[in-house]
Amino acid sequence: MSGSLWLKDPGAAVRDALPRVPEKPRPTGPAGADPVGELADRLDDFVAAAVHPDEVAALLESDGLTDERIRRRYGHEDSFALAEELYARVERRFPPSGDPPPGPAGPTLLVCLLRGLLFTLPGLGHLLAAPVLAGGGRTAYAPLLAAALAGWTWNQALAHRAYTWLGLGDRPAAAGALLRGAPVGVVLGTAAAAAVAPLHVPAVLFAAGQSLYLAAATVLLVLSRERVLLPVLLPLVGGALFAALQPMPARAHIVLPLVSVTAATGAAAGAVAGVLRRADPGGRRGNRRRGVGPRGLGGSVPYGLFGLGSGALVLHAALDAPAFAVALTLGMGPAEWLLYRFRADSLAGLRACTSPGAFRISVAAALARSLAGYAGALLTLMAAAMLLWPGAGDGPDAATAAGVLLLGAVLWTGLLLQAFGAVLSPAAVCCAAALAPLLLPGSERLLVPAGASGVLVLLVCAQLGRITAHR
Amino acid sequence: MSQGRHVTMLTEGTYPHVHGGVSTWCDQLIRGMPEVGFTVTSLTGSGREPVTWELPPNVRTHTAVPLWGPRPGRAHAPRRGADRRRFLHSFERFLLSLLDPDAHGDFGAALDALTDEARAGRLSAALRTETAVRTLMRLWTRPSLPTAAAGPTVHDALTAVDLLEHALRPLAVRIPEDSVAHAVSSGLATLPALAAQRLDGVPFLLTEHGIYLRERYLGYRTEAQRWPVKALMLGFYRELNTLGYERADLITPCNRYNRRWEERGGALPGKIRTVYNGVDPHAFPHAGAEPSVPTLSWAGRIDPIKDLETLIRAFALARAELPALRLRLFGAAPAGCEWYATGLEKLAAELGVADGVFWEGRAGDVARAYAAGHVVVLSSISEGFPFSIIEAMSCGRTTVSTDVGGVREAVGDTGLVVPPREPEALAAAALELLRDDERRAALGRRARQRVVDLFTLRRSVDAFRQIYLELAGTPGAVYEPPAAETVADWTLELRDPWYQEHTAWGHHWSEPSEPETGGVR
Repeated sequence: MSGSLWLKDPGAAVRDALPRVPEKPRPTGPAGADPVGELADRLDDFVAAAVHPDEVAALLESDGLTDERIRRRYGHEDSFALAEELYARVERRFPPSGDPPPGPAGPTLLVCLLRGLLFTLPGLGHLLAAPVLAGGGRTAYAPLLAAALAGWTWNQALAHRAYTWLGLGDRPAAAGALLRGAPVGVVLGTAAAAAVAPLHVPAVLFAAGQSLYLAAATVLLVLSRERVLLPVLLPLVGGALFAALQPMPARAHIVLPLVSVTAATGAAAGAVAGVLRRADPGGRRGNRRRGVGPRGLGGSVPYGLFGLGSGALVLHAALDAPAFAVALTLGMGPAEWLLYRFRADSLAGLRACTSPGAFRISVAAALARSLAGYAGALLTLMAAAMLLWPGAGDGPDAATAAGVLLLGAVLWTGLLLQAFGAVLSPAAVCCAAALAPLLLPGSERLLVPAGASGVLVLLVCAQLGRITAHR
Repeated sequence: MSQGRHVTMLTEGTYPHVHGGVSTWCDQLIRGMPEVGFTVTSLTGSGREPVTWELPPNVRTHTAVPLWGPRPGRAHAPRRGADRRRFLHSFERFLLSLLDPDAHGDFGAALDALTDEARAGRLSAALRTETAVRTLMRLWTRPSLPTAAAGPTVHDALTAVDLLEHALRPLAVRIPEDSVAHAVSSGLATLPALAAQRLDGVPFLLTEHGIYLRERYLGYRTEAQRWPVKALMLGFYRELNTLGYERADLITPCNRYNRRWEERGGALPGKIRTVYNGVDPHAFPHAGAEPSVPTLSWAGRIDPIKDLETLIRAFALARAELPALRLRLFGAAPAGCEWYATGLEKLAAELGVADGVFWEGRAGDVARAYAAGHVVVLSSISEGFPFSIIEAMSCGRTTVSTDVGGVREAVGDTGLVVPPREPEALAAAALELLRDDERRAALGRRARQRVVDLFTLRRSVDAFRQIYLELAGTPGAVYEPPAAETVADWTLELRDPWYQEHTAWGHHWSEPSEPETGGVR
């Protein structure tokens, strides 16, 4: 045989079994009146779907029909002539598209909700540590916020870089990137906190712990080990619940978060070491091919900027209405699920539409459905947060609520664009939106989220309405 | 000019990355001509495929061209109006030559225009644009074209344009201008040769082992792609195949059977010269005594095209008659085919013969694999000129093989040939030989003699040395197949009384032979 480089992504299953023609009935006597007709009946499905007579000839030959046999039994000169007659006799039929090949199955809604919870639970650490950090009043939070922003920015970029390696099938390289990048994120976060409040030692120490947790969680998320975080967070959750019921010794307020952070760091280190050990028993690092890696570090910068911009927007909201910030964080669960839904929806549109215009409309419809679903989920969470949040009696006004809802739309559409590889525009929009209140004081509550979400929705329609965005 | 001292060997998915017949052939050819420098350009999948052959010292460079690696060329499609228009015009002509049965003649010119884009580094980026996909969408929904009836969707268009972008990447590959371009298969491997032949005056030699197009047809049947994509891509392979036959300076199939498809594809008979694969009779010496337990032996890659399913079914049938019989399989499943090996083991278990099937893995010394059997079997549904057969013959073993490709020419009257995919026929032939010690020994002796007479490695390598010289324009160098020695009369040979007796249509194990006079013809 000649080289058989089947033209399909070698990442997918490489080769399927060769066709099996229908079982031939053993001829029991001399050929019937119309042997070609009998053959056409037997091979009907194959011939109807063939694209050229030569395809039929290939099938006949692989089925063991030699030219000699064809001459004797069917009265044609060779397989090509017989194939041409079969191809002419059988009318073309186009097999229905059937079920699309199972794409990467998205996580179930429950898993997504759990992940949303996973993003929210670490916030309990702040609750636990509040008595320790108190003293500086509101300013005590400034170093934590600075550390969170710095860490968030760095880890988004780092995760992108690691994901790119994973996408290239090089797991050890992804682990290596995480191993080198995560500690830098910790240093950056701590440094940011120290820069804001160099004298507030407990806050800086807490910010260091927070940065460590963020880095560890990033590693575990990228390596798909985030489930480990549930047991890791148990001390934190238990401590917060206990503290809500009765006072705890001051030491416990520090020790419990510390236990969680240490466990998370250990789990992350273990995950990285596991990947490296499995892939590199003999230290084969040197011979990895150059040039197949992600192009430069620059490609990850926009992801970091998107993290920075969206993080700043969320922090704005968190300072105004902490209950809604919790709702937004929990809402990341349904948001993620809706991202998968949108992808599935748009893929279905891609397979159903027969013109670029129709496809653009189907994408707009999928976007409308997803946004409506997300708004519904977010509203529910916000209402729940209002009810449960201690001292939210008078509650934020309708404008604030609408602003948070719109902010949710900004985050979701930004994530959507990013998921489709269009990261520059959402990064620019989010960063601009985060800076806008400096020029237009007071605009951050409603005007900025409304403007930003409007721009992003238009961008989604323009960019994801293109067929090539859905490769 | 190269004077035939520099050859660029173009491979697709074979040498020097995987083991198999074509790779063995490439390795033998290069090692057989230490005075000729080789540049090896191999088309691969992801670009992460390891090099599994040790490259001989006369290989000057080896370049892997990954079809699924990072996209080559410029990052952005041309923005200048004139460039864009020229590309779209060429692309439209290219697509129409694939879609419109009446526009067949246009393919070559359209591919040439795309070659210029590829050399300028613009092709891949241009094919990734929305406009490219929309162009295909607009064309193949034209009611006058056959594809329109299949209702192509935008997803089909996206898939097809992406596949074309990957398939056309080799167009941008440059090969040394002082070399002879030797594509060792049809199809994608000919793309760099076609470009270099037109733009740099590089001579273009095309060797086919299997029938590339036939394998594409068979392979595509099980693809998940819808009809419009399948029709477009197979149209591309068909047109490319035809263009290769049309433009190659010489075509050297490794058996005469391939000529059927080549002439069907438009190759001028005068350009086709058969060069059989060869084997070194010293490397595969007479195997000596047969094993004590009745054994069938098989050697090769565990791959669906080898149809080991039929072999295992045949073995089960034969074992029912001869309970001591063993089947020894020498070879490994290449990456991606492990599922096939697993399925075969399951089949053997279902048939209750798992204890008689021995999975030996890749044999270090292949000659040992042939020596391990009383009879060497081959069950493939497609072959070129299989090494496992001529090597087994060189070892003095007789063979039972399926009637595909050049098998009959190789075996001649030294073994039995049965129709593919008929376990009963394979089993009956194997039993027949297993039960007749004298005949088996006689056939084995004749097999070795046939190899020494006709299929030696020296003969094969000398032929290509001469062809390289001829293509490079060396005065007086013309390769003529030695008519007296090759199996020019193979058709006669196949009609000799022995063959009539044992081949598929003449024998009880396949279909009842129709009376000569009462048949259809």
